[in-house]
Amino acid sequence: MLGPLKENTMGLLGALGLAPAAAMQGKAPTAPFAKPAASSDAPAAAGGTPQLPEMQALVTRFRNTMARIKTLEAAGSPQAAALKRSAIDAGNMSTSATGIVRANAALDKVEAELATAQASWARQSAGGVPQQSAQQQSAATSPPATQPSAAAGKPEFKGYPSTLARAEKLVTQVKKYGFKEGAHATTMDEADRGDVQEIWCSGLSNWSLAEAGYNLDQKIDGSSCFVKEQKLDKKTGKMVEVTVSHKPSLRSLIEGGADNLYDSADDAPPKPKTDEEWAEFSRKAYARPGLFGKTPAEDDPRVKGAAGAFVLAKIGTEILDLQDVKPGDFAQTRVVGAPDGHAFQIHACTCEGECLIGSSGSPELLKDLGGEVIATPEGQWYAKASFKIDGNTSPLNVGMHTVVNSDWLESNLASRMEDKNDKDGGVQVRHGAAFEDPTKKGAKRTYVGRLSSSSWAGYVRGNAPLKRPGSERAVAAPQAPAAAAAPSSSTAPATAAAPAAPTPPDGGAVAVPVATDPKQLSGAHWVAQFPTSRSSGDLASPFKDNAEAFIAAIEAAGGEVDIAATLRPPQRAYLMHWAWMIGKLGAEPTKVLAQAGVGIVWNHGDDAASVTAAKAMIAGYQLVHKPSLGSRHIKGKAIDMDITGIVGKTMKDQKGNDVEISSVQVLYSVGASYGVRKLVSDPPHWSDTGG
Amino acid sequence: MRALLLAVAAAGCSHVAPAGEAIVRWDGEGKAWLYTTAASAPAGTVQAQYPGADGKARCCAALKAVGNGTRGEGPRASDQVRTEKVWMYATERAAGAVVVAPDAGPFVGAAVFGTNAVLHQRTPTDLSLGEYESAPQLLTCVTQEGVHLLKEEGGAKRTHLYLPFGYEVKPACSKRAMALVKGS
Repeated sequence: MLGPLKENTMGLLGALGLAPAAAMQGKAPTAPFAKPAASSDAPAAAGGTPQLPEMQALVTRFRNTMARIKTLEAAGSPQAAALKRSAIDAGNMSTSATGIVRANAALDKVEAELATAQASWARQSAGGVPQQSAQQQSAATSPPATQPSAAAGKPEFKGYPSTLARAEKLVTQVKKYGFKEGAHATTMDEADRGDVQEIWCSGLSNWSLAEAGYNLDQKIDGSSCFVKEQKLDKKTGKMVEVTVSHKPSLRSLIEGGADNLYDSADDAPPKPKTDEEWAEFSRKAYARPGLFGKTPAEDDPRVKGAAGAFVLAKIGTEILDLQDVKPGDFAQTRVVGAPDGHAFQIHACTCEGECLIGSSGSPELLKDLGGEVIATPEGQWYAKASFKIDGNTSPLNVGMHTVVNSDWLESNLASRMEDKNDKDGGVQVRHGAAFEDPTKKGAKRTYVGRLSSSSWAGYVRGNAPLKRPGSERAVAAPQAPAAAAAPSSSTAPATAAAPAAPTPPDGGAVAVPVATDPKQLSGAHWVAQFPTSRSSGDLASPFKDNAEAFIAAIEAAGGEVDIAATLRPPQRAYLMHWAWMIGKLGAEPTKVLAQAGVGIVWNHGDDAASVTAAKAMIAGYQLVHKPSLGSRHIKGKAIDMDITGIVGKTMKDQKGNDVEISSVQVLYSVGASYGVRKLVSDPPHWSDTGG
Repeated sequence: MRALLLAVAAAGCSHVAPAGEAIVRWDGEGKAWLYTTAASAPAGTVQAQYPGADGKARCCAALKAVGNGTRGEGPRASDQVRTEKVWMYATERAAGAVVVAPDAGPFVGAAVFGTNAVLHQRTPTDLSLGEYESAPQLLTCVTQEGVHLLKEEGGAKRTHLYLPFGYEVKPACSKRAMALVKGS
């Protein structure tokens, strides 16, 4: 499955012209960022091998991370050296396709720690507080304070697109931009939500997170902030000024609370009381030195709204390249040195590049831009198309691309509404919006955060799961193109290779087809088509990597794993489902819509023949209950496997800890550490969600 | 000891086949397979649910296991109580047994062997091994990817077999059955 990527053995550091060994030995520790010009002149790996897109993307990311570390190092942060070593270690992983995935994962951790270190150093620089001890520093990277699971008893967290879908309903409900109802507009009390009539911009972000099950008010470990308050001294009966501390919460960070920016008790300012005092307080706080760097990536996470909050709370990552934004991301703009800015969520993106149109979760095809087009069992693969992705789009159907513009879900002022007749503002979708160029003088900076639960988490544009059909790493199109759509060559007509009907831009079901060849008609000969895969290589990333790592750990501990099923093609589910519907439940064969990429014709011309053929398929598949059309297997995010011989042995969890597997429940827990979760009701079944 | 043996022989008792439970799978063409932990083919009569002409469960058809057990192909059945291997046995219709409707389609249900107890179907997913109130119960339960066969006796789970379908379905389990499933 790895194909040509295996040939690239030099890795990221090799691509940068820095031998891994030298880097590891510390002989040239600053080379990767000390000579960025030389690095950028090295588009190909050593030896003249053309550098792969995956590697190019990683190189870019590595450079950005190193640049941020360099800034931290130049400022004198003692944490920079360790971060640099971690980043170099990440770079050394990138000697294969799986290595690139691991390197990206390692860089995720480095960036999270870097954000914490930046915040810590900014506080020290601005407040002049003593540097933390080593122990204190490690405490700053302790487990997340705010997680979906922390919202015990609250609505189950569904993740994106739930976050976006739940906020969308406010478009029609909230017709006013304002703060009056804010007291309950972002609480987690479900009873209040129908009453929300007005909301402000960051309030909408918090409302979405609260709806999705996040505890907005749980404190984030790692830092305290200070203000002075007047309190009654019970002994003297007089009001005295005392310094009080608090820890930031997800809510306060997303709302840009200026009181989060004072982290030294020595210079704690008086807590404002009036709106006017708060405005002045915020203006002064954001103007403090050390909060804004030369580039947005260097800015203190506390000024970055949701992006910084996700990183500090360890519930997501910051998307540094605005070309990488995706539906469901949370954004914040900010004027450098000022509290002014806007919060919103990415609702949809208009893109140009590779896409797969026709399968479940396809993007919306806007225009074929004239590149190569290949018919596959899943639909039409376009090398160059204009398309739109939204909350229903599966990342598996999106390949290399650029984002042209995006639609934003936001709450905004009346003057910023697309509907010019709207006099109150409120929640809307702003279409075709573009980010400000941060290099322009006076432009706002834009920070984007992505929840770890987003379906786009881990998506790397340069290493997209969708490849050209026929390439070895095509995830969404594992079948051979064209001919694979037909029944076996001995029985199928040549015309069955092509989709039975034109594929509409919105993908999915297409018009009811008419047979042009008798062998397109339904029957038992279809049963062998679109078989279930037993290869972990057909799973979708990042679940693929998680499952493979989990299996490797089991086998390393002496257990045995027998994989029964991984990817179940949607075409197979479609054939099973409609065979049952016609053969058992009396669905009319003339009204069954076709599935793009499946050339079957259900209507034999008379009902009896159609039902008989459907029953033959039911028998062929050995169906005993109505098959579902959707599942984690169809998305490549589930694996069925028999695991034997592991109970009683000791294996590594995802963090490398030794865990004695005293029972299957312990094994379930270890699986979860890898992101491979057990569906307890079905013994062989594991998935990314446990569903 | 000799007296005891003679007494047993005089009473007509000989070798008693081990009792057990099985998931029965009908292939839609009148043939049935048993999935059980029994390492050798169940002797004697097997009482098995079968599909009526409407495809719904009926009780019970008399079958005989034939041949050696195999592990089968594709998704394998498993034993969730003793973690023993589950074997698949072909069957043939016992003399005088009901003839399964040819149009009934594939079907899965419960089966027992090695017992003189009469199987009574209370509901399509709930059978009892005898008519008395405290008789052992056999429950079948469909979860997301397969069917469970559970035997409850004296308030405890005695048997738990699972046969995966190889596709996803809408789960349909009684609370009682699901509690037994998750209690494994």
